[in-house]
Amino acid sequence: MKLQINILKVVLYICLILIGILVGKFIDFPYFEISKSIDLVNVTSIVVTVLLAVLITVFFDKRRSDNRIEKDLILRRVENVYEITNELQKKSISGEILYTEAVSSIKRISTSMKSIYKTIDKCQFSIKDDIKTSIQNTIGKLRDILTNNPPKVTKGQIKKLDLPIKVKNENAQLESKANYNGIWSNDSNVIIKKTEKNKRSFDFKDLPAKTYLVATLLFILIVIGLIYYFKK
Amino acid sequence: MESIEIKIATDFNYTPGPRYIEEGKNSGEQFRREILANAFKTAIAKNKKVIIDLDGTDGYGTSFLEESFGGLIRNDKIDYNEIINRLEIISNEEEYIKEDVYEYIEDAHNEASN
Repeated sequence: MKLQINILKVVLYICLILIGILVGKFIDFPYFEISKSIDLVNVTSIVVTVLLAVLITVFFDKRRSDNRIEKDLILRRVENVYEITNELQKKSISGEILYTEAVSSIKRISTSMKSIYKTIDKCQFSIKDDIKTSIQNTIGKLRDILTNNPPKVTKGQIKKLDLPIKVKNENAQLESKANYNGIWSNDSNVIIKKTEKNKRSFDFKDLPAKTYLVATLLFILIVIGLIYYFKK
Repeated sequence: MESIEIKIATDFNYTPGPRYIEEGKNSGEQFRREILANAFKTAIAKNKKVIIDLDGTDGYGTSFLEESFGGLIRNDKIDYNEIINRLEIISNEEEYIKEDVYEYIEDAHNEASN
């Protein structure tokens, strides 16, 4: 097929040359003469122009095409990183992510970024250092969020720490949940149990206004009932 | 100075796990107890360096690294200066991990001194 096309092209060129010769021979152009002498300056100019045309087509077009290929390659790799992070996000939201999976995904992101930086360098593009640092910090934060659970607090450390706990009615109570979130400890279970116990203990102050009203009505009804019973 | 070399991928496991033994396989606690603490104790006794090669694994979680290296000070009570002077970390795949490890050691040291 390719050979046929090439043959057709050659035939076409020959035909065009023949048409040119025939037109030159049989048609007379007024005020138009063909000089039979060759001017060297003109020839040099034509040769240089042709060379430049070839150079621009071969060299610059190739360079442009290479750049496009390199950009596509970088974009594909960035897309890979995007896919990994997207998958991580979905799984972390659903709570189905395994520790080892999170760790390996972060490593994949890290190595992919490294390979992107290398490709960028090889392609003679540039990426600012502060962008690299920012990406690195974000990966570090992601790793901390997904794979860090703080160490257990030992008894000795608990004594040293200023925990958000106050003692009320001989029971320990947390001042606020928000303050407590930073501390994770097996010993903390004891404190939480104590708080639950405290919740179970009866305190009139904790009752809502409606309960007071209902209780008062019941009390009045019982008193009326008793008075009525004893009068009989 | 002679050295004790530990390559986590081959001497411990290819997939390092969570912080504590009860949390899962190949934990930082297990690595510290079985390999790292002993290596440091031997290195101190025989005046050697400890070279830890972190490359070739499936990746490291913060918990694993913190428990392994921070735990040397917190649990094994190894002197901070001995660790810093003897430790050498190889991490070509994830270069930033090197800095993180030194930060964990520093933090554990600060917590222990407070």
